[in-house]
Amino acid sequence: MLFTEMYTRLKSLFNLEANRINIPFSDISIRMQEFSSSDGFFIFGYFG
Amino acid sequence: MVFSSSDISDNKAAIPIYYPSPDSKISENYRFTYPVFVKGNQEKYNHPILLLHGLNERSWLKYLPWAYYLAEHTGRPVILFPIAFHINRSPLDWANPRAMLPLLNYRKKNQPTADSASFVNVALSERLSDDPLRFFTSGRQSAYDIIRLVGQIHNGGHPLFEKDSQTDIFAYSIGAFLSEIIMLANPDGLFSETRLFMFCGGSVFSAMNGISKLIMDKKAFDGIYKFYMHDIDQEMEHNRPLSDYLKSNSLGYSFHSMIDFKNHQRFRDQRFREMRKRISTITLKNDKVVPAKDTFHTLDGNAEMFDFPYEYTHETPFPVTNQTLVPLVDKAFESVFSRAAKFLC
Repeated sequence: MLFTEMYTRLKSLFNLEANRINIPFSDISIRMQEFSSSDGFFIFGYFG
Repeated sequence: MVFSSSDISDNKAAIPIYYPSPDSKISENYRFTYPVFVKGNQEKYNHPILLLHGLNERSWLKYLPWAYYLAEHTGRPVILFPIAFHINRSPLDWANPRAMLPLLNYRKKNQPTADSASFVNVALSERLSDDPLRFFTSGRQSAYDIIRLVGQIHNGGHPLFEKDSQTDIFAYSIGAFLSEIIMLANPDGLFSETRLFMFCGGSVFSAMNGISKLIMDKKAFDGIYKFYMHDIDQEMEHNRPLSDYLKSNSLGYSFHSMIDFKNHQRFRDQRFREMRKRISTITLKNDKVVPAKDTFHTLDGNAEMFDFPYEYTHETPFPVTNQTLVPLVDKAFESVFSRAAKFLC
């Protein structure tokens, strides 16, 4: 499948709220994963 | 200063209220989801490709065919991981023209040098103008998130991947800049074998020009440029938390080395020489944001320059709105991504 067709078909499929998104025209699926950023707020004092 | 839709009255005559919103209050940035494209129906997979996006992206839409192609042609899972305060790690309002319009009008009125201001870039422009350090702190948070993710994958702590899976990277634009910093620093040796494919990225910061209706306005770019090219040099003369971090932390040191050609040049050149076979880069001839010649300079020539027979930009290398261009765009996309898939396969 060429790029522009791929773009058009995927655009209509993508749904961030789904946990798993099946792509009907191929054996590829999208698995949604969760992440929690652990970066604490390091205070970068600068310029005095 | 950050603007929130909760401050917008339905009364069009209302004056927008601006307030300093600490980054720590933007909850979307801390808990979020990210998509992984996988081929087949296995419980566990091996060797993912991490796909990193460009600056000021608010949606994965542009990248869906990129990820699909890489998953299809390499057979490897493709992780689309959002940089801090981007995509779904930022409030929805930042991508909402109606919500951003009052802020845009306010900025145009109060910042006469904000050329190229648009509703698309006004949230980022306002945030960077308010505090240019956000360019660094957001990148730092993204780097630590990526290191933790890659560590989880390597250690068998990720639900989708087999233990000891090697992660490679496909990086575009500012995602390439971030990847280079992580690769230069190589924390805990996690990236010792990582292959990095860069597209429309690769140069040091000083050669970039981020002024674009899709990225940031002139006021914001001038602000961060002055901050990182001038003010930081003065800061480095002192021993304070920021300068200490840039001098003594491997990520901070690598970040500083990627700010300008003159910064830690021997370190940067030596590390890129060591990684030469693990890095592949495609630049575009008409790229005004990350110019090809400066990527060549940064990587000591370890790059290729492509040109496409249609009007394209750094931000939109594969335009989809002009139907007459479809065959040319399809061919251009194939030329870049077949190269990427082969390198990452």
